[in-house]
Amino acid sequence: MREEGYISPRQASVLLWFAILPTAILFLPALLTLRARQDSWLAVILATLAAGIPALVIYLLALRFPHYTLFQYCELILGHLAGKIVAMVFVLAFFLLNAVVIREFSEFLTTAVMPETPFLFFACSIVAVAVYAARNGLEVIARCTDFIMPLLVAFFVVILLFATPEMSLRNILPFLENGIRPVLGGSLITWPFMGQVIILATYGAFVNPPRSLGWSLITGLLGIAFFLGLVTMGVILVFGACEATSLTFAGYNLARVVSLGQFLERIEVLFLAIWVAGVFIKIALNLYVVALGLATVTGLKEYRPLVAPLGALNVALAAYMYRNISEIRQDLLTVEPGWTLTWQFILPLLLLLVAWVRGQRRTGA
Amino acid sequence: MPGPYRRPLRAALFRRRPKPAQQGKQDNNKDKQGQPGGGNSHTAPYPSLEEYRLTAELKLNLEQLQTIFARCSDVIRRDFYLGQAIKVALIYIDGLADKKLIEDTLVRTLQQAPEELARSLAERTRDLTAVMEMVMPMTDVAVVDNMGSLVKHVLNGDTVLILNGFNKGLALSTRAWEHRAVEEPITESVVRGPRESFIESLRTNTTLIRRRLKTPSLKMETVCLGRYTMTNIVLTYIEDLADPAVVREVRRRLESIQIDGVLESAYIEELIEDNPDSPFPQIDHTERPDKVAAALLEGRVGILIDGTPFALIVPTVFVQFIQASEDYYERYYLSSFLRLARFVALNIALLLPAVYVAVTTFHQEMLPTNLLVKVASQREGIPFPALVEALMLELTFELLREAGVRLPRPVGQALSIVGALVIGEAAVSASLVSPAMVIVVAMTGISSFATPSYSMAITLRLLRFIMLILAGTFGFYGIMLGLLAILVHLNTLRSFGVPYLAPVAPWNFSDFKDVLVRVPRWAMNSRPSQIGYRDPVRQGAGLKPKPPASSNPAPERGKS
Amino acid sequence: MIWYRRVLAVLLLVLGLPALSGCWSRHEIEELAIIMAVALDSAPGGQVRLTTFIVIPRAVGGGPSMGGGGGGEPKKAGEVVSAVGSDFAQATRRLEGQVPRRLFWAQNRVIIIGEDLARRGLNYLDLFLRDRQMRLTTPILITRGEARKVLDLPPGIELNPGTILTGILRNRTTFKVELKDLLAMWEAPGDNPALPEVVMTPTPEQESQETGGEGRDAKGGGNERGGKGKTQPEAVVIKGAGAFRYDRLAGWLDEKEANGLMWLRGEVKEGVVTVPLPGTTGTGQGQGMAGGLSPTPGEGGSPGQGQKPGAEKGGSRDLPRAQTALSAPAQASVVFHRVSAKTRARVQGQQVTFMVEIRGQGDLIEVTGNFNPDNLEQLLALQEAVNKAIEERALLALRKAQQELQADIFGFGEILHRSNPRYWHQVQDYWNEEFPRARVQVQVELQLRRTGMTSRTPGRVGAVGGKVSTQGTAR
Repeated sequence: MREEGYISPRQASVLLWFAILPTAILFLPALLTLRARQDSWLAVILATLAAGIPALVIYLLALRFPHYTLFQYCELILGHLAGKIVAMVFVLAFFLLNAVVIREFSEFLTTAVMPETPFLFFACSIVAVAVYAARNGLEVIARCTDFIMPLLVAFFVVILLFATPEMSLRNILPFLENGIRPVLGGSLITWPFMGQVIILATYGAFVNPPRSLGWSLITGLLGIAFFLGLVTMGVILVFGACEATSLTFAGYNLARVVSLGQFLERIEVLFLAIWVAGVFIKIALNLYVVALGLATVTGLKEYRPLVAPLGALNVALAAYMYRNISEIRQDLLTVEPGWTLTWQFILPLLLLLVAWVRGQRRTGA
Repeated sequence: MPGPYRRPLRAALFRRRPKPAQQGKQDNNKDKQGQPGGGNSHTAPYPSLEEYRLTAELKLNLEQLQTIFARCSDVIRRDFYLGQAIKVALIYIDGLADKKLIEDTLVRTLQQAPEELARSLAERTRDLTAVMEMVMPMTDVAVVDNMGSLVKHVLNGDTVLILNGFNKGLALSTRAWEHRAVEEPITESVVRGPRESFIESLRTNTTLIRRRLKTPSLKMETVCLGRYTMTNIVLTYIEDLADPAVVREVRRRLESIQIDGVLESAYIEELIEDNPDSPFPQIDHTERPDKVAAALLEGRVGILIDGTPFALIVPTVFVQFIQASEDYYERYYLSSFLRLARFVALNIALLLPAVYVAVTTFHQEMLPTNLLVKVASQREGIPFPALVEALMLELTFELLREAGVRLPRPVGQALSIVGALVIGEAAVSASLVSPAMVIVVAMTGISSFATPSYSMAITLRLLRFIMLILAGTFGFYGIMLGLLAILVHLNTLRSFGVPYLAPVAPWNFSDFKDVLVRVPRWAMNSRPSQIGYRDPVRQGAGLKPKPPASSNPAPERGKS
Repeated sequence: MIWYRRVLAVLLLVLGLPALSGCWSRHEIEELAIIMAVALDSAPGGQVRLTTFIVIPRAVGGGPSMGGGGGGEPKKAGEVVSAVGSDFAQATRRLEGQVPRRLFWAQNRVIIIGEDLARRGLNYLDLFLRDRQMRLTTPILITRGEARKVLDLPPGIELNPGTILTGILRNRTTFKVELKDLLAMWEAPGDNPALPEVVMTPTPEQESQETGGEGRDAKGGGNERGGKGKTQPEAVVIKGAGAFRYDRLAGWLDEKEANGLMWLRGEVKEGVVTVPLPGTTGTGQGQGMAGGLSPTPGEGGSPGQGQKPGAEKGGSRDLPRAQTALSAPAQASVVFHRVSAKTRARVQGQQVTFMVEIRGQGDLIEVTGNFNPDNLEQLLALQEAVNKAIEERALLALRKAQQELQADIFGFGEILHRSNPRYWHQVQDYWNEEFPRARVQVQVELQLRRTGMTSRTPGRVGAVGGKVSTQGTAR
């Protein structure tokens, strides 16, 4: 099925930032320093380079099937039945991903901000607003990011700028202390976040003009690498690798140590506000993609009625997915890299190969 | 003929859905004849008033009119002979038509017309144009051929002249009624800038615009709405600039309105806005002709409504509600500063009490220690939770404001002083509310007055209460939820196809010249891209004024 | 009317929210017990004692009906509450049993660790890292004896001990360790924590001599509130430091050694060094150097030692000034700024050498001897003396750390780690044992730049301009 409305290439790339950054800046630095220590920033760069490959795959697929979403060209490439199955795998994967995001979001808020509030409340409320956004379509989500993005960027600039007095450049030394292997390990942990570029294969179909998808991918990835690298770097410079590993929410702690003279301390609540906005976009976008995919697979004309039930299911799944925050960390460290590598990289690659072998393309839209 | 006509005629007058009017002949510069919206009239039991055509028999026509205007004491009918040959009748409404003009000029001229001319008119031609050409002393004349348009003309203040032997009448524009003079705008006063305001008379208002835009491209289409009020509505735009799709859409929406009466522009606004469920105003209104002219120059469409000094401007985007016309008349530094200040005020008006409640009940760690201790000591012994305290004070403030607005001005002032000083002071010293909260509420009130648009201010006032409750329940997270919902909502809004948050989302850097700041006039080279894209270039480039090169001329180079 | 129903539902939801959610995470501001300072001590039986200073907002903020009143002596700004538990979470819980309000930690200004607890180890601090209300930017101090005594500090310029201590720390007379710095020093294998020390006057030792130890015993047990007027400290000084080996307190650095520690860690940004004027007779030298080292607390703030203005502020309330005037030493004080310390590590075979290079600029601010600032030689000699004094302090600290404490409190291990990771991996597990063998070279290059607003030459002759200058050139 198709959804009317187009987004500009710039909006597409900013959406890509929002699809990856919000949870990454919160959870990733701590996990990353666990593996790659003070070379985590290098791991981010490597992961970005690695994410370039699936991005290329997505781009080539999009060139073959312009104006078709991932779910649609699954079917075009693999035929009716196999295509539907693969598309369903993607739908489920996005669905699962969204549940993880919702869980991470509410888990963080209960831990760091309002411990007495049940986490289900956070999950329900943010999903409710996200459902509202997703029902209104991609254009509305994209326009919301237009509004939030400058705030996000400004806020990160402010935080990093005012954290500079706390930074000590020596913290990034020694460079490559234990060789390249830990860095590669770190990149692998970054992968579950970076690999989400695949989401561009779904909403990328609505980018106008479609040829500029490549530009969106490149700027999207570069922006993500820039901000993620900056935050990781900031965390390492301020806390040092040793301390950073022990801070569960290192990005948040970065905001907590910032002080602007005597009058502007404690700006972490502002961090939270903007971070909530970012996660909201991420959840809304994922919900939209899941609903769109499910509508495509089931052949519905309209994805809107699916959004609210999917959101409810997502909350339920998020609630039962993990028992505690350690499981989330374990999952992010061990399970997710492999799983995401499978569906975010190998599967699209296979699609591309099959399409290439069978020589399929749909250029006339 | 009283018998058979009576019922059908009355019925035709008050039928719910009149048939689309068969347009009478319309003069070029005369736009008072609107067309009541098209509807499915075939189900109606009686023919519409428009279907009663004038007959050549004056007596018959007059009888019908008698029926139509029965018991209308202000309708004046006067029969006399044109040049002692043709029997004619004049119908007009006392008070709406210029009696002096009718008596001094019209009647006298017609009565004193040469008899043979009248005779020849009556016998030879039976052509109204000849009448107009030969004896008519007035310029603004329309021909009416049915009861519908005749009645409409009369009700609009025209004088209708029916001649015996002609199956058409003449509507002569003699509109002149009591109305307020053009005064200073009350709701949008400026320090510097034109001091004219629209008034309740539509014709004056169109004049005010026409005087500013002297171009044939300025179009003024008329639509007549309201079964009883027959309100004339003028759709005005500059043909070269306005998006024809927008004009078409406005026209379509206006024409599809079926309503008994239009008393204020708000009637139209609520009936044509894109998302009627939204708390946000989606159509800007103003009483300043210069503002309408500026909007037309940007490619927008204005809607003027008879009987109200407020004109509507579409398409409207959010930022328009924080732009004041004076921004464009003062130096751009000051304007930009004020614009930014208004943005701050907007946020304060929406969020300050909510943030205060969130900070003091959820996120006390945000406050500097000294402030925290201060606030805590102020709150000692206050019997209410901060949320209730804030709600109470806000409500009191709203009541004070409402009372101040509704009461006669001198009383209102006294009341607001009493309210502000006495109640506030007493409540604080009785430890019912904390001084900090009073400050917060007062600041919120001031900020909401700083929003140039009253309609946006009242929207924010309402949303403030919702934000307050959210903040008192979930702290900053609640505020964020509320803000996100508002953001999504604002992004779903469109005003006649233009996204409501236009230059911000979708992002358009060039349009930012008039959002957070107001760039100097010589840098405003293009029209808003979503609205005036048909002719984006507003002025020549390089308009930035420079002093003359030098009083002692530079050595001329390469002259030889 | 579907629309109407939807709006009604939303409205009801919003209005019903406060009732629905009850009071999740909501605490009215006046229901909070705002903690401004925390003291951590050990308690008998392997337990710990948590003492908090809780502000009484009424007393500080002046309520809505403050009116006139006021004046008089400063009221007590808060209350010191204390509880014992097997760990701090338990102690906190017990504390909540004593306080009618909800404990609020986020505004805590300072954490003071008592000596005994520090000897037991820093792991007790975990609550202050894990709890969401705690802030990583809270400064940490250590004190000899019981930390909770510090909280009994009477109000002076500032009303509560938290503000007093952070105010002193802000003067930068000594180094400042925030929780996050402590964590970093503690977690890093090549570093050991050192915390600035709060010294109470009169010191607990003196006080116990006076009261015969009974007062302490009475306060030692149970959960009763601390702070009898008699046993209160009168003032505090932050000077010296407590040095840790891994996470346990290993020993104390006196003021000079702590100063040396600051120089070696590169924590010094500004300050004053006082040295005897070079070329004067030896008595001045001894006097000048001894000033800071003197063990009696009364002299801790003697102006002669001068390098810590904050210490003076705290300590020299009723010192007879004449005492120092008598000796009239010929000495000079230099205020320095833009100081940077660079440390490099070099490994030759199994020998590690650290080279510390301290650079900076100094201005002359006080001279009490015969010294002509226009004389270049004298100036250079003074500069040399200043450098020497700094170097001496650094070496003093170094000697203490290497020989007595056997702990690398300077973070040299991390520097080695950064510059020579390969060698570091061999020694990182027993670095503190390895550290005493390391050689440290300190090179101080402080440059005297300016000599202040006057160019007079003080000295015996007095302020007679012409004579002074001739004398200056004669020398």
